[in-house]
Amino acid sequence: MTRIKRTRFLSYFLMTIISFIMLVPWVALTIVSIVPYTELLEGWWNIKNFKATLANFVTAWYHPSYPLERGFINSFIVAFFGAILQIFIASLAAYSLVMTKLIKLRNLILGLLTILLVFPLQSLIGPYFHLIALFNLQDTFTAVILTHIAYGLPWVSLFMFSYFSSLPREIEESAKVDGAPEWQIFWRIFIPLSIPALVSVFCLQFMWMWNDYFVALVFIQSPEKLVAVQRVTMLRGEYWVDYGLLAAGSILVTLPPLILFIFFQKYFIKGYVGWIVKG
Amino acid sequence: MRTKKKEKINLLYIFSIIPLLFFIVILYIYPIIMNLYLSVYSDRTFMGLQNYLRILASKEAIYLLNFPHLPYGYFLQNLLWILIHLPITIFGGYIIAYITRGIKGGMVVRAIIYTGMLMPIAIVGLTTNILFQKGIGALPAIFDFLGMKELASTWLTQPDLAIFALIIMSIWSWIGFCVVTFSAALEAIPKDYYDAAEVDGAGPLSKMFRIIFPMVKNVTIVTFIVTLTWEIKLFDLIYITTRGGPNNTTNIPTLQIYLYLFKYFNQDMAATLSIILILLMLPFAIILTKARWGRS
Repeated sequence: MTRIKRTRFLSYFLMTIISFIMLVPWVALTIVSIVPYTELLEGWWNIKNFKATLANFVTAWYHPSYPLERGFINSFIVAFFGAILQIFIASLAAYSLVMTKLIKLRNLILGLLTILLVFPLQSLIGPYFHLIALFNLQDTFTAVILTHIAYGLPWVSLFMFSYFSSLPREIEESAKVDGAPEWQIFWRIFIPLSIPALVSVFCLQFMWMWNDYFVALVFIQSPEKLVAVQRVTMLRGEYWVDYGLLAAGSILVTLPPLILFIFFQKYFIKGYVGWIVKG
Repeated sequence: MRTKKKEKINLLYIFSIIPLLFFIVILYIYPIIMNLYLSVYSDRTFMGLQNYLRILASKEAIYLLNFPHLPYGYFLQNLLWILIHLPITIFGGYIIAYITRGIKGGMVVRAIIYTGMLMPIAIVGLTTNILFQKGIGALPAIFDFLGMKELASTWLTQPDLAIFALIIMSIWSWIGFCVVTFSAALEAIPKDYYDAAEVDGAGPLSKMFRIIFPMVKNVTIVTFIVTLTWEIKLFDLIYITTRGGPNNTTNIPTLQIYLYLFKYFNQDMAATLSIILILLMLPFAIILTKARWGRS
Protein backbone atom coordinates (compact mmCIF):
# COMPACT_ATOMS: atom_id res chain seq x y z
CA MET A 1 0.00 0.00 0.00
CA THR A 2 2.70 2.45 0.89
CA ARG A 3 4.34 1.95 -2.48
CA ILE A 4 1.12 2.81 -4.27
CA LYS A 5 0.75 5.88 -2.06
CA ARG A 6 4.30 6.91 -2.82
CA THR A 7 3.86 6.62 -6.60
CA ARG A 8 0.59 8.52 -6.28
CA PHE A 9 2.37 11.32 -4.45
CA LEU A 10 5.16 11.34 -7.02
CA SER A 11 2.59 11.53 -9.84
CA TYR A 12 0.89 14.53 -8.28
CA PHE A 13 4.21 16.20 -7.63
CA LEU A 14 5.28 15.76 -11.26
CA MET A 15 1.89 16.83 -12.56
CA THR A 16 2.00 20.06 -10.54
CA ILE A 17 5.47 20.96 -11.76
CA ILE A 18 4.63 20.19 -15.39
CA SER A 19 1.42 22.25 -15.21
CA PHE A 20 3.32 25.23 -13.81
CA ILE A 21 5.97 25.04 -16.52
CA MET A 22 3.35 24.73 -19.23
CA LEU A 23 1.51 27.76 -17.90
CA VAL A 24 4.56 30.08 -17.79
CA PRO A 25 4.21 31.38 -21.38
CA TRP A 26 0.49 32.07 -20.92
CA VAL A 27 1.03 33.87 -17.62
CA ALA A 28 3.88 35.91 -19.10
CA LEU A 29 1.81 36.91 -22.13
CA THR A 30 -1.17 37.88 -20.01
CA ILE A 31 0.82 40.00 -17.58
CA VAL A 32 2.88 41.70 -20.29
CA SER A 33 -0.32 42.55 -22.16
CA ILE A 34 -2.10 44.21 -19.22
CA VAL A 35 0.76 45.95 -17.37
CA PRO A 36 1.72 49.44 -18.61
CA TYR A 37 5.08 49.64 -20.41
CA THR A 38 6.89 51.73 -17.77
CA GLU A 39 6.16 49.18 -15.08
CA LEU A 40 7.04 46.35 -17.42
CA LEU A 41 10.65 47.47 -17.58
CA GLU A 42 11.05 46.52 -13.94
CA GLY A 43 10.06 42.98 -14.89
CA TRP A 44 6.60 41.57 -15.34
CA TRP A 45 6.90 39.46 -12.19
CA ASN A 46 7.15 42.64 -10.09
CA ILE A 47 3.55 43.18 -9.21
CA LYS A 48 3.85 45.50 -6.22
CA ASN A 49 2.02 48.50 -7.69
CA PHE A 50 0.06 46.52 -10.18
CA LYS A 51 -2.25 48.53 -12.47
CA ALA A 52 -4.06 46.56 -15.14
CA THR A 53 -5.15 48.11 -18.41
CA LEU A 54 -6.85 46.68 -21.45
CA ALA A 55 -5.56 49.48 -23.68
CA ASN A 56 -3.20 47.14 -25.54
CA PHE A 57 -6.03 44.89 -26.64
CA VAL A 58 -8.01 47.83 -27.99
CA THR A 59 -4.96 49.23 -29.78
CA ALA A 60 -4.14 45.87 -31.36
CA TRP A 61 -7.71 45.37 -32.52
CA TYR A 62 -8.05 48.87 -34.07
CA HIS A 63 -4.36 49.35 -34.93
CA PRO A 64 -3.91 52.27 -37.39
CA SER A 65 -1.75 50.35 -39.89
CA TYR A 66 -2.42 46.66 -39.15
CA PRO A 67 -5.84 46.37 -37.51
CA LEU A 68 -6.42 42.85 -36.22
CA GLU A 69 -10.12 43.33 -36.85
CA ARG A 70 -9.51 43.08 -40.60
CA GLY A 71 -6.99 40.24 -40.08
CA PHE A 72 -9.59 38.18 -38.28
CA ILE A 73 -11.96 38.52 -41.24
CA ASN A 74 -9.19 37.52 -43.68
CA SER A 75 -8.05 34.57 -41.61
CA PHE A 76 -11.61 33.43 -41.16
CA ILE A 77 -12.25 33.51 -44.92
CA VAL A 78 -9.10 31.50 -45.58
CA ALA A 79 -9.55 28.94 -42.80
CA PHE A 80 -13.30 28.45 -43.16
CA PHE A 81 -13.53 28.06 -46.93
CA GLY A 82 -10.21 26.20 -47.05
CA ALA A 83 -11.38 23.63 -44.52
CA ILE A 84 -14.84 23.17 -46.05
CA LEU A 85 -13.61 22.72 -49.62
CA GLN A 86 -10.82 20.44 -48.50
CA ILE A 87 -13.21 18.22 -46.56
CA PHE A 88 -15.53 17.99 -49.55
CA ILE A 89 -12.78 17.00 -51.98
CA ALA A 90 -11.23 14.54 -49.54
CA SER A 91 -14.55 12.88 -48.64
CA LEU A 92 -15.44 12.42 -52.28
CA ALA A 93 -12.05 10.83 -52.97
CA ALA A 94 -12.17 8.71 -49.80
CA TYR A 95 -15.63 7.46 -50.74
CA SER A 96 -14.49 6.23 -54.12
CA LEU A 97 -11.36 4.68 -52.57
CA VAL A 98 -13.53 2.75 -50.14
CA MET A 99 -16.04 1.64 -52.78
CA THR A 100 -13.80 0.83 -55.70
CA LYS A 101 -13.05 -2.76 -56.65
CA LEU A 102 -9.66 -1.81 -58.13
CA ILE A 103 -7.84 -2.80 -54.96
CA LYS A 104 -4.31 -2.59 -56.34
CA LEU A 105 -4.74 0.92 -57.69
CA ARG A 106 -6.42 1.92 -54.45
CA ASN A 107 -3.55 0.63 -52.33
CA LEU A 108 -1.10 2.43 -54.56
CA ILE A 109 -2.92 5.73 -54.03
CA LEU A 110 -3.18 5.16 -50.27
CA GLY A 111 0.55 4.41 -50.09
CA LEU A 112 1.39 7.51 -52.11
CA LEU A 113 -0.78 9.70 -49.86
CA THR A 114 0.98 8.33 -46.76
CA ILE A 115 4.41 9.03 -48.23
CA LEU A 116 3.39 12.61 -49.03
CA LEU A 117 2.65 13.27 -45.34
CA VAL A 118 6.32 13.71 -44.47
CA PHE A 119 7.39 16.25 -47.10
CA PRO A 120 7.84 19.80 -45.85
CA LEU A 121 5.94 22.45 -47.77
CA GLN A 122 9.14 24.48 -48.08
CA SER A 123 10.68 21.79 -50.29
CA LEU A 124 7.79 22.12 -52.76
CA ILE A 125 7.10 25.83 -52.68
CA GLY A 126 9.57 27.02 -55.36
CA PRO A 127 8.04 25.44 -58.50
CA TYR A 128 4.55 25.73 -57.00
CA PHE A 129 5.06 29.46 -56.48
CA HIS A 130 5.85 29.88 -60.17
CA LEU A 131 2.78 27.88 -61.10
CA ILE A 132 0.66 30.24 -59.00
CA ALA A 133 2.39 33.23 -60.61
CA LEU A 134 1.67 31.78 -64.05
CA PHE A 135 -2.05 31.96 -63.28
CA ASN A 136 -1.68 35.45 -61.82
CA LEU A 137 -2.90 34.39 -58.42
CA GLN A 138 -0.20 35.98 -56.24
CA ASP A 139 -1.48 38.18 -53.47
CA THR A 140 -4.93 36.56 -53.49
CA PHE A 141 -6.79 34.55 -50.89
CA THR A 142 -7.40 32.01 -53.66
CA ALA A 143 -3.70 31.17 -53.75
CA VAL A 144 -3.55 30.77 -49.96
CA ILE A 145 -6.71 28.65 -49.85
CA LEU A 146 -5.57 26.42 -52.75
CA THR A 147 -2.21 25.86 -51.07
CA HIS A 148 -3.76 24.95 -47.74
CA ILE A 149 -6.22 22.59 -49.42
CA ALA A 150 -3.53 20.87 -51.45
CA TYR A 151 -1.07 20.54 -48.60
CA GLY A 152 -3.59 19.09 -46.15
CA LEU A 153 -5.37 16.80 -48.62
CA PRO A 154 -3.25 13.65 -48.13
CA TRP A 155 -3.92 13.68 -44.40
CA VAL A 156 -7.64 14.51 -44.65
CA SER A 157 -8.20 11.90 -47.38
CA LEU A 158 -6.48 9.19 -45.33
CA PHE A 159 -8.46 10.21 -42.26
CA MET A 160 -11.77 10.08 -44.11
CA PHE A 161 -10.81 6.80 -45.77
CA SER A 162 -10.17 5.23 -42.36
CA TYR A 163 -13.47 6.50 -41.06
CA PHE A 164 -15.50 5.42 -44.09
CA SER A 165 -13.99 1.95 -44.03
CA SER A 166 -14.95 1.60 -40.35
CA LEU A 167 -18.63 2.06 -41.24
CA PRO A 168 -20.54 -1.24 -41.48
CA ARG A 169 -20.70 -2.55 -45.05
CA GLU A 170 -24.31 -3.72 -44.64
CA ILE A 171 -25.61 -0.16 -44.74
CA GLU A 172 -24.27 0.55 -48.16
CA GLU A 173 -25.18 -2.91 -49.47
CA SER A 174 -28.78 -2.62 -48.37
CA ALA A 175 -28.96 0.82 -49.95
CA LYS A 176 -27.66 -0.64 -53.20
CA VAL A 177 -30.23 -3.40 -53.10
CA ASP A 178 -32.88 -0.72 -52.73
CA GLY A 179 -31.55 0.74 -55.95
CA ALA A 180 -30.32 4.02 -54.49
CA PRO A 181 -28.05 5.88 -56.93
CA GLU A 182 -24.39 6.23 -56.03
CA TRP A 183 -24.41 9.93 -55.16
CA GLN A 184 -27.31 9.36 -52.79
CA ILE A 185 -25.38 6.67 -50.92
CA PHE A 186 -22.56 9.17 -50.52
CA TRP A 187 -24.65 12.21 -49.69
CA ARG A 188 -27.54 10.67 -47.72
CA ILE A 189 -25.78 7.78 -45.95
CA PHE A 190 -22.01 8.23 -45.70
CA ILE A 191 -21.89 11.95 -44.99
CA PRO A 192 -24.55 12.00 -42.22
CA LEU A 193 -22.93 8.96 -40.57
CA SER A 194 -19.56 10.71 -40.64
CA ILE A 195 -20.51 13.94 -38.89
CA PRO A 196 -18.18 13.28 -35.90
CA ALA A 197 -15.21 12.64 -38.21
CA LEU A 198 -16.07 15.70 -40.31
CA VAL A 199 -16.21 17.88 -37.18
CA SER A 200 -12.79 16.55 -36.09
CA VAL A 201 -11.24 17.28 -39.46
CA PHE A 202 -12.85 20.69 -39.65
CA CYS A 203 -11.58 21.69 -36.17
CA LEU A 204 -8.01 20.63 -36.88
CA GLN A 205 -7.81 22.00 -40.39
CA PHE A 206 -9.45 25.28 -39.38
CA MET A 207 -6.90 25.61 -36.58
CA TRP A 208 -3.92 24.76 -38.80
CA MET A 209 -5.03 27.18 -41.51
CA TRP A 210 -5.75 29.89 -38.96
CA ASN A 211 -2.39 29.34 -37.27
CA ASP A 212 -0.32 29.19 -40.45
CA TYR A 213 2.25 31.86 -41.14
CA PHE A 214 4.41 30.45 -43.94
CA VAL A 215 1.80 30.20 -46.72
CA ALA A 216 0.54 33.71 -46.05
CA LEU A 217 4.11 35.00 -45.92
CA VAL A 218 4.84 33.59 -49.37
CA PHE A 219 1.65 34.68 -51.12
CA ILE A 220 0.21 37.76 -49.40
CA GLN A 221 1.82 41.21 -49.72
CA SER A 222 -0.90 43.88 -49.72
CA PRO A 223 -1.35 45.33 -46.23
CA GLU A 224 -5.15 45.01 -46.33
CA LYS A 225 -4.95 41.30 -47.19
CA LEU A 226 -2.56 40.25 -44.39
CA VAL A 227 -3.98 37.46 -42.23
CA ALA A 228 -4.29 37.74 -38.44
CA VAL A 229 -1.05 35.96 -37.46
CA GLN A 230 0.92 38.10 -39.93
CA ARG A 231 -0.54 41.28 -38.45
CA VAL A 232 0.43 40.35 -34.91
CA THR A 233 4.06 39.97 -36.00
CA MET A 234 3.83 43.46 -37.54
CA LEU A 235 2.82 45.02 -34.23
CA ARG A 236 6.46 45.03 -33.15
CA GLY A 237 6.74 48.79 -33.73
CA GLU A 238 9.47 50.54 -35.66
CA TYR A 239 11.96 52.05 -33.24
CA TRP A 240 11.29 50.08 -30.11
CA VAL A 241 9.48 46.83 -29.51
CA ASP A 242 6.10 47.37 -27.93
CA TYR A 243 5.91 44.12 -25.99
CA GLY A 244 2.54 44.91 -24.45
CA LEU A 245 0.94 45.33 -27.86
CA LEU A 246 2.64 42.17 -29.16
CA ALA A 247 1.42 40.16 -26.19
CA ALA A 248 -2.13 41.48 -26.50
CA GLY A 249 -2.18 40.66 -30.21
CA SER A 250 -0.76 37.20 -29.50
CA ILE A 251 -3.51 36.45 -27.01
CA LEU A 252 -6.23 37.74 -29.33
CA VAL A 253 -5.07 35.66 -32.29
CA THR A 254 -4.87 32.50 -30.18
CA LEU A 255 -8.42 32.94 -28.90
CA PRO A 256 -10.30 31.40 -31.88
CA PRO A 257 -8.39 28.07 -31.77
CA LEU A 258 -8.64 28.13 -27.97
CA ILE A 259 -12.42 28.67 -28.01
CA LEU A 260 -12.84 26.01 -30.69
CA PHE A 261 -10.80 23.64 -28.52
CA ILE A 262 -12.80 24.36 -25.38
CA PHE A 263 -16.07 23.54 -27.14
CA PHE A 264 -14.86 20.63 -29.28
CA GLN A 265 -12.06 19.13 -27.17
CA LYS A 266 -13.32 15.59 -27.80
CA TYR A 267 -13.23 16.08 -31.56
CA PHE A 268 -9.75 17.60 -31.53
CA ILE A 269 -8.42 14.57 -29.70
CA LYS A 270 -10.27 12.11 -31.95
CA GLY A 271 -8.81 13.95 -34.91
CA TYR A 272 -5.25 13.71 -33.62
CA VAL A 273 -5.66 10.07 -32.72
CA GLY A 274 -7.20 9.22 -36.09
CA TRP A 275 -3.91 9.39 -37.89
CA ILE A 276 -2.10 7.32 -35.27
CA VAL A 277 -4.33 4.43 -34.31
CA LYS A 278 -5.12 2.10 -37.17
CA GLY A 279 -8.61 2.53 -38.60
CA MET B 1 -26.08 -5.23 -68.89
CA ARG B 2 -24.51 -5.95 -65.55
CA THR B 3 -20.90 -5.39 -66.72
CA LYS B 4 -21.91 -2.12 -68.31
CA LYS B 5 -23.28 -0.85 -65.01
CA LYS B 6 -20.11 -1.91 -63.24
CA GLU B 7 -17.97 0.00 -65.70
CA LYS B 8 -20.13 3.06 -65.27
CA ILE B 9 -19.67 2.94 -61.51
CA ASN B 10 -15.92 2.53 -61.77
CA LEU B 11 -15.82 5.54 -64.04
CA LEU B 12 -17.79 7.48 -61.45
CA TYR B 13 -15.23 6.59 -58.78
CA ILE B 14 -12.42 7.71 -61.03
CA PHE B 15 -14.15 11.03 -61.65
CA SER B 16 -14.66 11.70 -57.98
CA ILE B 17 -10.99 11.14 -57.20
CA ILE B 18 -9.83 13.55 -59.89
CA PRO B 19 -9.99 16.70 -57.71
CA LEU B 20 -7.72 15.02 -55.16
CA LEU B 21 -5.26 13.92 -57.83
CA PHE B 22 -5.31 17.41 -59.35
CA PHE B 23 -4.17 19.00 -56.08
CA ILE B 24 -1.61 16.25 -55.48
CA VAL B 25 -0.13 16.87 -58.91
CA ILE B 26 0.11 20.66 -58.63
CA LEU B 27 1.55 20.80 -55.10
CA TYR B 28 3.51 17.54 -54.84
CA ILE B 29 4.25 15.72 -58.09
CA TYR B 30 4.98 18.68 -60.34
CA PRO B 31 7.20 20.55 -57.83
CA ILE B 32 9.22 17.42 -57.05
CA ILE B 33 9.86 16.71 -60.74
CA MET B 34 10.60 20.38 -61.41
CA ASN B 35 13.00 20.54 -58.46
CA LEU B 36 14.81 17.46 -59.74
CA TYR B 37 15.16 19.11 -63.12
CA LEU B 38 16.30 22.47 -61.71
CA SER B 39 18.85 20.80 -59.47
CA VAL B 40 20.78 19.20 -62.33
CA TYR B 41 20.15 21.65 -65.19
CA SER B 42 21.26 25.24 -65.36
CA ASP B 43 20.23 27.28 -68.42
CA ARG B 44 19.37 24.01 -70.17
CA THR B 45 22.86 22.63 -69.80
CA PHE B 46 23.34 19.48 -67.78
CA MET B 47 25.32 20.20 -64.62
CA GLY B 48 25.40 16.75 -63.09
CA LEU B 49 25.65 16.73 -59.33
CA GLN B 50 27.58 20.01 -59.11
CA ASN B 51 24.84 21.81 -57.18
CA TYR B 52 24.59 18.95 -54.70
CA LEU B 53 28.32 19.04 -54.06
CA ARG B 54 28.23 22.80 -53.71
CA ILE B 55 25.58 22.55 -51.02
CA LEU B 56 27.21 19.73 -49.09
CA ALA B 57 30.58 21.50 -49.18
CA SER B 58 29.27 24.93 -48.18
CA LYS B 59 30.03 26.07 -44.67
CA GLU B 60 26.44 27.18 -44.16
CA ALA B 61 25.33 23.57 -44.54
CA ILE B 62 27.83 21.71 -42.38
CA TYR B 63 30.47 23.43 -40.29
CA LEU B 64 32.33 21.96 -37.36
CA LEU B 65 35.48 24.08 -37.09
CA ASN B 66 33.99 26.05 -34.24
CA PHE B 67 32.91 22.97 -32.25
CA PRO B 68 31.66 22.90 -29.52
CA HIS B 69 30.51 26.45 -30.23
CA LEU B 70 27.75 27.05 -32.74
CA PRO B 71 27.20 27.39 -35.72
CA TYR B 72 27.21 23.78 -36.92
CA GLY B 73 25.56 24.54 -40.24
CA TYR B 74 21.87 24.18 -41.04
CA PHE B 75 21.88 20.39 -41.47
CA LEU B 76 23.60 19.67 -38.17
CA GLN B 77 21.59 22.34 -36.36
CA ASN B 78 18.39 20.64 -37.45
CA LEU B 79 19.92 17.35 -36.28
CA LEU B 80 20.80 18.88 -32.91
CA TRP B 81 17.23 20.13 -32.68
CA ILE B 82 15.92 16.62 -33.37
CA LEU B 83 18.32 14.97 -30.91
CA ILE B 84 17.05 17.15 -28.07
CA HIS B 85 13.43 17.66 -29.06
CA LEU B 86 12.54 14.11 -30.12
CA PRO B 87 13.47 12.15 -26.97
CA ILE B 88 12.04 14.80 -24.64
CA THR B 89 8.70 15.03 -26.40
CA ILE B 90 8.34 11.25 -26.97
CA PHE B 91 9.39 10.11 -23.48
CA GLY B 92 7.91 13.16 -21.80
CA GLY B 93 4.65 12.68 -23.66
CA TYR B 94 4.59 9.00 -22.75
CA ILE B 95 5.35 9.60 -19.08
CA ILE B 96 2.81 12.42 -18.77
CA ALA B 97 0.17 10.29 -20.49
CA TYR B 98 1.02 7.46 -18.11
CA ILE B 99 0.89 9.40 -14.84
CA THR B 100 -2.22 11.40 -15.74
CA ARG B 101 -4.14 8.24 -16.66
CA GLY B 102 -7.11 7.55 -14.41
CA ILE B 103 -6.01 9.94 -11.66
CA LYS B 104 -8.03 12.76 -10.18
CA GLY B 105 -7.06 16.03 -11.88
CA GLY B 106 -5.30 14.19 -14.68
CA MET B 107 -7.67 15.57 -17.29
CA VAL B 108 -7.02 19.13 -16.09
CA VAL B 109 -3.26 18.65 -16.42
CA ARG B 110 -3.70 17.20 -19.90
CA ALA B 111 -5.93 20.11 -20.94
CA ILE B 112 -3.28 22.58 -19.73
CA ILE B 113 -0.64 20.74 -21.76
CA TYR B 114 -2.81 20.68 -24.89
CA THR B 115 -3.06 24.48 -24.88
CA GLY B 116 0.53 24.62 -26.14
CA MET B 117 -0.57 23.06 -29.43
CA LEU B 118 -3.24 25.69 -29.98
CA MET B 119 -0.92 28.68 -30.14
CA PRO B 120 0.19 29.54 -33.70
CA ILE B 121 3.84 28.60 -33.95
CA ALA B 122 4.73 32.13 -35.15
CA ILE B 123 3.13 33.46 -31.96
CA VAL B 124 5.20 30.96 -29.97
CA GLY B 125 8.13 32.79 -31.56
CA LEU B 126 6.92 36.17 -30.28
CA THR B 127 6.47 34.61 -26.84
CA THR B 128 10.06 33.36 -27.00
CA ASN B 129 11.13 36.95 -27.60
CA ILE B 130 9.34 38.04 -24.46
CA LEU B 131 10.33 35.14 -22.19
CA PHE B 132 14.03 35.20 -23.03
CA GLN B 133 14.46 38.98 -23.22
CA LYS B 134 16.72 40.50 -20.61
CA GLY B 135 14.84 43.03 -18.52
CA ILE B 136 11.40 41.76 -19.46
CA GLY B 137 11.62 38.00 -19.63
CA ALA B 138 11.52 35.83 -16.52
CA LEU B 139 14.18 33.33 -17.53
CA PRO B 140 17.16 35.70 -17.75
CA ALA B 141 16.00 37.18 -14.45
CA ILE B 142 15.93 33.75 -12.81
CA PHE B 143 19.45 33.00 -14.03
CA ASP B 144 20.58 36.42 -12.85
CA PHE B 145 19.16 35.64 -9.43
CA LEU B 146 21.02 32.30 -9.43
CA GLY B 147 24.22 34.14 -10.33
CA MET B 148 24.64 32.49 -13.74
CA LYS B 149 25.68 35.60 -15.61
CA GLU B 150 26.13 34.01 -19.06
CA LEU B 151 22.54 32.77 -19.03
CA ALA B 152 21.17 36.08 -17.75
CA SER B 153 21.27 37.75 -21.17
CA THR B 154 18.87 38.03 -24.11
CA TRP B 155 19.12 34.45 -25.38
CA LEU B 156 18.08 35.08 -28.96
CA THR B 157 21.02 37.38 -29.63
CA GLN B 158 23.63 34.97 -28.23
CA PRO B 159 25.07 32.56 -30.85
CA ASP B 160 25.46 29.77 -28.31
CA LEU B 161 22.07 30.22 -26.64
CA ALA B 162 19.59 31.25 -29.35
CA ILE B 163 18.88 27.75 -30.68
CA PHE B 164 18.27 26.42 -27.17
CA ALA B 165 15.66 29.08 -26.42
CA LEU B 166 13.90 28.02 -29.62
CA ILE B 167 14.22 24.30 -28.84
CA ILE B 168 12.72 24.81 -25.37
CA MET B 169 9.74 26.65 -26.81
CA SER B 170 9.28 24.09 -29.58
CA ILE B 171 9.10 21.37 -26.94
CA TRP B 172 6.49 23.42 -25.11
CA SER B 173 4.35 23.69 -28.21
CA TRP B 174 4.67 20.05 -29.37
CA ILE B 175 4.60 17.88 -26.26
CA GLY B 176 0.79 18.07 -26.14
CA PHE B 177 0.61 16.11 -29.37
CA CYS B 178 2.62 13.24 -27.90
CA VAL B 179 0.47 13.28 -24.75
CA VAL B 180 -2.66 13.02 -26.91
CA THR B 181 -1.45 10.06 -28.93
CA PHE B 182 0.03 8.11 -26.03
CA SER B 183 -3.05 8.75 -23.88
CA ALA B 184 -5.22 7.25 -26.60
CA ALA B 185 -2.89 4.30 -26.98
CA LEU B 186 -2.82 3.64 -23.22
CA GLU B 187 -6.59 3.83 -23.00
CA ALA B 188 -6.84 1.23 -25.77
CA ILE B 189 -4.95 -1.30 -23.63
CA PRO B 190 -7.36 -3.58 -21.72
CA LYS B 191 -7.37 -2.96 -17.98
CA ASP B 192 -6.51 -6.63 -17.31
CA TYR B 193 -2.97 -6.03 -18.48
CA TYR B 194 -2.34 -3.42 -15.84
CA ASP B 195 -3.86 -5.65 -13.18
CA ALA B 196 -1.83 -8.67 -14.30
CA ALA B 197 1.34 -6.59 -14.09
CA GLU B 198 0.30 -5.48 -10.61
CA VAL B 199 -0.17 -9.09 -9.49
CA ASP B 200 3.21 -10.05 -10.93
CA GLY B 201 4.66 -7.50 -8.57
CA ALA B 202 6.11 -5.31 -11.28
CA GLY B 203 7.26 -1.94 -9.99
CA PRO B 204 5.85 1.19 -11.61
CA LEU B 205 8.95 1.73 -13.74
CA SER B 206 9.30 -1.79 -15.04
CA LYS B 207 5.55 -1.93 -15.60
CA MET B 208 5.76 1.25 -17.62
CA PHE B 209 8.71 0.26 -19.79
CA ARG B 210 8.63 -3.55 -19.99
CA ILE B 211 4.94 -4.28 -20.21
CA ILE B 212 3.13 -1.21 -21.47
CA PHE B 213 5.73 0.30 -23.80
CA PRO B 214 5.91 -2.70 -26.17
CA MET B 215 2.12 -2.62 -26.48
CA VAL B 216 2.15 0.90 -27.87
CA LYS B 217 4.98 0.19 -30.30
CA ASN B 218 3.06 1.05 -33.45
CA VAL B 219 1.77 4.30 -31.97
CA THR B 220 5.32 5.13 -30.92
CA ILE B 221 6.64 4.60 -34.46
CA VAL B 222 4.00 6.87 -35.96
CA THR B 223 4.36 9.51 -33.22
CA PHE B 224 8.12 9.38 -33.72
CA ILE B 225 7.85 10.05 -37.45
CA VAL B 226 5.16 12.73 -37.16
CA THR B 227 7.31 14.48 -34.53
CA LEU B 228 10.40 14.19 -36.72
CA THR B 229 8.46 15.64 -39.66
CA TRP B 230 7.37 18.54 -37.48
CA GLU B 231 10.96 19.27 -36.49
CA ILE B 232 11.96 19.38 -40.15
CA LYS B 233 9.01 21.60 -41.05
CA LEU B 234 9.80 24.19 -38.36
CA PHE B 235 10.00 27.47 -40.16
CA ASP B 236 7.60 29.97 -38.65
CA LEU B 237 9.26 29.84 -35.23
CA ILE B 238 12.75 30.61 -36.54
CA TYR B 239 11.67 33.09 -39.20
CA ILE B 240 9.78 35.18 -36.64
CA THR B 241 12.52 35.20 -34.02
CA THR B 242 16.00 35.10 -35.53
CA ARG B 243 15.71 34.43 -39.30
CA GLY B 244 18.54 31.94 -38.91
CA GLY B 245 20.82 34.32 -37.00
CA PRO B 246 22.82 35.29 -35.04
CA ASN B 247 25.70 34.17 -37.25
CA ASN B 248 23.65 31.39 -38.90
CA THR B 249 23.35 29.51 -35.60
CA THR B 250 19.59 28.88 -35.75
CA ASN B 251 19.30 28.15 -39.45
CA ILE B 252 17.72 24.88 -40.64
CA PRO B 253 17.23 23.51 -44.20
CA THR B 254 13.59 24.59 -44.60
CA LEU B 255 14.51 28.16 -43.70
CA GLN B 256 17.51 28.04 -46.03
CA ILE B 257 15.24 26.97 -48.92
CA TYR B 258 13.10 30.03 -48.25
CA LEU B 259 16.16 32.27 -48.12
CA TYR B 260 17.48 30.84 -51.41
CA LEU B 261 14.12 31.43 -53.06
CA PHE B 262 13.00 34.78 -51.75
CA LYS B 263 16.18 36.48 -50.57
CA TYR B 264 18.97 35.33 -52.91
CA PHE B 265 16.62 34.45 -55.81
CA ASN B 266 18.64 31.33 -56.47
CA GLN B 267 16.13 28.77 -57.69
CA ASP B 268 18.66 26.08 -58.56
CA MET B 269 20.14 25.94 -55.11
CA ALA B 270 16.68 26.00 -53.52
CA ALA B 271 15.66 23.10 -55.76
CA THR B 272 18.80 21.13 -54.92
CA LEU B 273 18.35 21.59 -51.18
CA SER B 274 14.67 20.64 -51.54
CA ILE B 275 15.61 17.38 -53.23
CA ILE B 276 18.22 16.59 -50.58
CA LEU B 277 15.61 17.18 -47.88
CA ILE B 278 13.05 15.01 -49.69
CA LEU B 279 15.58 12.20 -50.06
CA LEU B 280 16.44 12.43 -46.37
CA MET B 281 12.77 12.16 -45.44
CA LEU B 282 11.94 9.33 -47.85
CA PRO B 283 13.06 6.42 -45.61
CA PHE B 284 10.80 7.72 -42.84
CA ALA B 285 7.94 8.02 -45.31
CA ILE B 286 8.39 4.34 -46.14
CA ILE B 287 8.53 3.33 -42.46
CA LEU B 288 5.36 5.35 -41.87
CA THR B 289 3.63 3.63 -44.78
CA LYS B 290 4.64 0.22 -43.42
CA ALA B 291 3.50 1.06 -39.89
CA ARG B 292 0.20 2.38 -41.18
CA TRP B 293 -0.68 -0.19 -43.84
CA GLY B 294 1.75 -3.01 -43.05
CA ARG B 295 -0.62 -5.76 -41.99
CA SER B 296 -3.55 -5.05 -44.26
